[in-house]
Amino acid sequence: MKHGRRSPAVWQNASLDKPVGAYGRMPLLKIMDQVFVIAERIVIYSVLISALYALVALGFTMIFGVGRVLNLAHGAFLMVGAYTAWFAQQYLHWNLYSAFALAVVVCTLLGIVLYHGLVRHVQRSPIVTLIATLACALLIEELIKIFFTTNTQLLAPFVSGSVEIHKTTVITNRIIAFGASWLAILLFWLFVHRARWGKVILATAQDQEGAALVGIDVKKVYTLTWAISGALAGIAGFFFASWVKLDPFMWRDPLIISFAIVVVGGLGSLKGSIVAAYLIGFLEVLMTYSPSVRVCAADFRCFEFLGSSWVGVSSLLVLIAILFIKPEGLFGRTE
Amino acid sequence: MSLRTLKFVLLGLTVIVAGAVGPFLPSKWMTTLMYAQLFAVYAMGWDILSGMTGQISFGHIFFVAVSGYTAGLLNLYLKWPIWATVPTGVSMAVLAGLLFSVPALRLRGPYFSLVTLILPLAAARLVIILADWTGGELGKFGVTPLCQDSLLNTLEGLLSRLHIDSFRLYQYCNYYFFWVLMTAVGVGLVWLSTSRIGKILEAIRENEEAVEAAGINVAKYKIFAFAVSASVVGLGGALSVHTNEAVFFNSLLSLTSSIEMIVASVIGGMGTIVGALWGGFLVRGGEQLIREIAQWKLPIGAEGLALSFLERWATFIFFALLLVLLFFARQGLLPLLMGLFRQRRGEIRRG
Repeated sequence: MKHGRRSPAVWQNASLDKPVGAYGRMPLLKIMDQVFVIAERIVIYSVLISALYALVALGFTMIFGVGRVLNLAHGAFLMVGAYTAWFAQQYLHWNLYSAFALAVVVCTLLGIVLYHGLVRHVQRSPIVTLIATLACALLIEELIKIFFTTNTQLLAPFVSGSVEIHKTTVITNRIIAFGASWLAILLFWLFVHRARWGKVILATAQDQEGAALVGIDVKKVYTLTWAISGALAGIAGFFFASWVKLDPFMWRDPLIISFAIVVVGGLGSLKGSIVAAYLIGFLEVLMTYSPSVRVCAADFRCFEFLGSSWVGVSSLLVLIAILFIKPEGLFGRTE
Repeated sequence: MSLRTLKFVLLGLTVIVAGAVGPFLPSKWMTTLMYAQLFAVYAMGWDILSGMTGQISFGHIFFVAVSGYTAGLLNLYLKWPIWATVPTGVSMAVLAGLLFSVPALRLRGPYFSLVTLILPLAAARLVIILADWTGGELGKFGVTPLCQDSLLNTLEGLLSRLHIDSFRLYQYCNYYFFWVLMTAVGVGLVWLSTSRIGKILEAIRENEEAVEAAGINVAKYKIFAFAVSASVVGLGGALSVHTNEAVFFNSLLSLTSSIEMIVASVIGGMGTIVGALWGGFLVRGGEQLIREIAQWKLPIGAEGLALSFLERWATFIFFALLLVLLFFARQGLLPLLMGLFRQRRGEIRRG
């Protein structure tokens, strides 16, 4: 069977002024074909972007799992990573690899500085921690507005061009982002489950006092988790900068995404975060490509029902639904 | 002096000062303080739920939005008068609060905060999707003003010998309207917070299980706090729409003001109501003060440069100050003052 994608002739055949029976089952097959093409695209795109989402959520959930701190500055870490790489590439004329390394290093340091300079002192009160980290995020937003203006920028991709996967065109850089994200996630996974310090982190997450009793320096563990979280955010930020965009408000979306993922997956659960990242990512991509219906009132005021303007809404609604049905998340632990 | 009397005295003093300085304020500061009063109402509304029961809501602006958009759109499209839009808006906010409170009771701690943070975000998306009606991020003008011409004309006749021009009169009208609102809400909430109900709410914050064990229906009190809080905040929202004469996205749904409510309450002292009122003034007044300072003419040659430099840093300085305040005055202003007061009294008794 020939696959003439989006062939206008086929759609003409399917038009209603001719008897459908005269053309046999062809139009139906063609429509099914179109549906498959779109479904394939949705699956591939959501698999790709979800890896990045998982990476973003991982650092956020780790800090909560170990230290019981919700770091609202996590999105801002990402933004700092993105802008560092962009600055190094644009103004210092570094190549992308060293810009990437610099972004990761800067974010790691930022994590440590934020923990020691601020969070350590207010950690005991969750509310103050939330407000303080949020204020930090807003401070960083202001700094970026001051130094880099509010203009939207884009970081150059590692590799330009695109490849065909079956019938879907995918930008090569996104595949690299996907690979890098999964590499980072796997490395992190190995570190936590195999390395000595990783096990120390797990132990602290399970029981802080118990960990302290067997001689683990809890402060040091916290510092380590903030550093790792910063590094993960740096990697994610670098790829966000070439995938989405760079602007002083870019920290909000990743933060909301991490929220959604972490709440759906269960606060502090790594496995849950990855599963939830794929769920949220799939929903978002699905909404982007779903057909929209334009609903109009008698006075010609209209709104779109479904479609790309509902991207954020769907995942937020799923999030609220899950919170009400299963408040501890899909893989959360009950406390 | 009992706690209730002390709080009423402090509230009374604040309200009297706010009312007395009104006529002496320059126009710009009058607007600032008018919005500070509105904001104090929001902060107190937040405090009665989150400050007292310890369920930290990050999205109280959601109730402002529900009420404000209901009132504004009813007025814009169905031409409902103010006396109908405001009660409808407030009841919608209360309804939203009740609807939300029933499932929210299952959530604790960070989960509750996260859900409340999500509500205004989802609402913002909806407002943008329905932009043909709501005006989206730009807002929609044409809402009936709170201080209508007929009212002003009557007043102008009375006040004509005081030589107050009509713009100033309009400002006075709005200022004292919010002053009355703030006073009424303040008195009501201080009374509520020091009553038996307030004590139960505070007990819920300290130990929910213990309250339950004492045979008190915790859920009932939490739902009640939700309804009161939503109605207070909603009342402010609906009235602000009529003062602004427009539904503004930035004043009805900005996440920043949602956070600033918490900040105001934390700075003033959580769960104290009067502290939240002070915090509201400090936050809004502080913002304006920084903006003013940023516009000062510097006696340096490169005036323009320095000017724009300061203006750009104004918001940064505000957030930095906020961090410093959070760092050093964590318990809040009112508890701090009361601690000092008690200490001195103790010294006197001992001496």
